[in-house]
Amino acid sequence: MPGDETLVALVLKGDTQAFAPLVERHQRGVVNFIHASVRSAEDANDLSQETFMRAYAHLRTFNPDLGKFSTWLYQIARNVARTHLGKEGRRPPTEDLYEDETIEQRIPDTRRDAAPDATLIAGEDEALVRSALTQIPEKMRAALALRYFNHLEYQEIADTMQVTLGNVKTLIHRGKAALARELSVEHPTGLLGASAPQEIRGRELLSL
Amino acid sequence: MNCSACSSRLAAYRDGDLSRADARLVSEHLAGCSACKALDARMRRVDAALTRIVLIEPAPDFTATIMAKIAAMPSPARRRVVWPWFAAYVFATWAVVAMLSALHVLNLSAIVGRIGGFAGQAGVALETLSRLGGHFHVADVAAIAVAIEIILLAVAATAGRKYLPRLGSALLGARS
Ligand SMILES: [Zn+2]
Repeated sequence: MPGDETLVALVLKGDTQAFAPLVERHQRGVVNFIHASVRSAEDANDLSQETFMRAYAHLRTFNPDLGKFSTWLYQIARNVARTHLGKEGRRPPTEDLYEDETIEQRIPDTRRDAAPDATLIAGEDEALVRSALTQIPEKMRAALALRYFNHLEYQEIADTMQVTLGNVKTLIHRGKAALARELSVEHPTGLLGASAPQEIRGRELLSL
Repeated sequence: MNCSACSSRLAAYRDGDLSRADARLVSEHLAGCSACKALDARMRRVDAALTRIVLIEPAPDFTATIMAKIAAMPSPARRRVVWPWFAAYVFATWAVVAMLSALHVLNLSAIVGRIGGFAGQAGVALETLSRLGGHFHVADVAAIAVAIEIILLAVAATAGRKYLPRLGSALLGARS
């Protein structure tokens, strides 16, 4: 099977059908990358379609000297997802606060993690992490999705997001900390009940 | 190491991205701090969930839908050379001129005469100019100007080729 860049060259020579293997090859990755940002699988599919249409329409602007096709494709996917979230106005208002410091520095609350039953929680955690992913800042989410859903190397993530290698690691670490925090908020294990999150936020603010 | 320093390093600690010295400080703090141990447990749950997460499958007709939509779009293929169009234009123009002169709407010999006269005048003017130019070394100045222009064009072409795709990607992002 010819490589991505060869297929792109074929499409640019007028062989439209050469685009099909490119779609086959990357559809799963793009759909799942976008699914990290939007909850509904249907939306993820629609936005992925849009990603490929954009890629096709602007294929001439892809320069193989500047990087891999997949890198370019994920850049488009990210832009499509961001535009979509921007339209919906669903971006969490606390984005800027997350962006830099403080989340991981909040003192964890010991009471809510009292003896979690590993097997019982495992499946539940996946659902919680999925929904928490849509709540954390876009940059962290993109880095985490590229790493864990698309299995990209750190350097490839850096190329895709156009940040440094160090930035990628920081984003992933902070992203996990943010997820852990969302996990604790949405996963009250007895004791505190539903009113817990506000109480804890208040307590955390006091302790900062 | 205090709790704040420890908690902000936990993810890096689990990913093996800490220096050996830092990692030892973290593990020492973890051993004696239940709060950080709890956070660490939660981080490991996040890690496990991320690694285990079940990916979704694209719609079965994903590729077919795209290929159908693409068929209706203009091809992104590199634009063909415009020569054929230019040749057709020139041919059509001359055909019109020939037709008009055949119908005596245009008096061809008069036109040719007028062009000839104009060419003669232009030639005389050019000779005067070139004599003046020789006197003032205008030719040298012109040659230098042309050379500078060529260099600028070459630089613009190189820079353009390098940055245009990037500009294109940026525009892609800006577009909704
Ligand atoms: Zn501690």
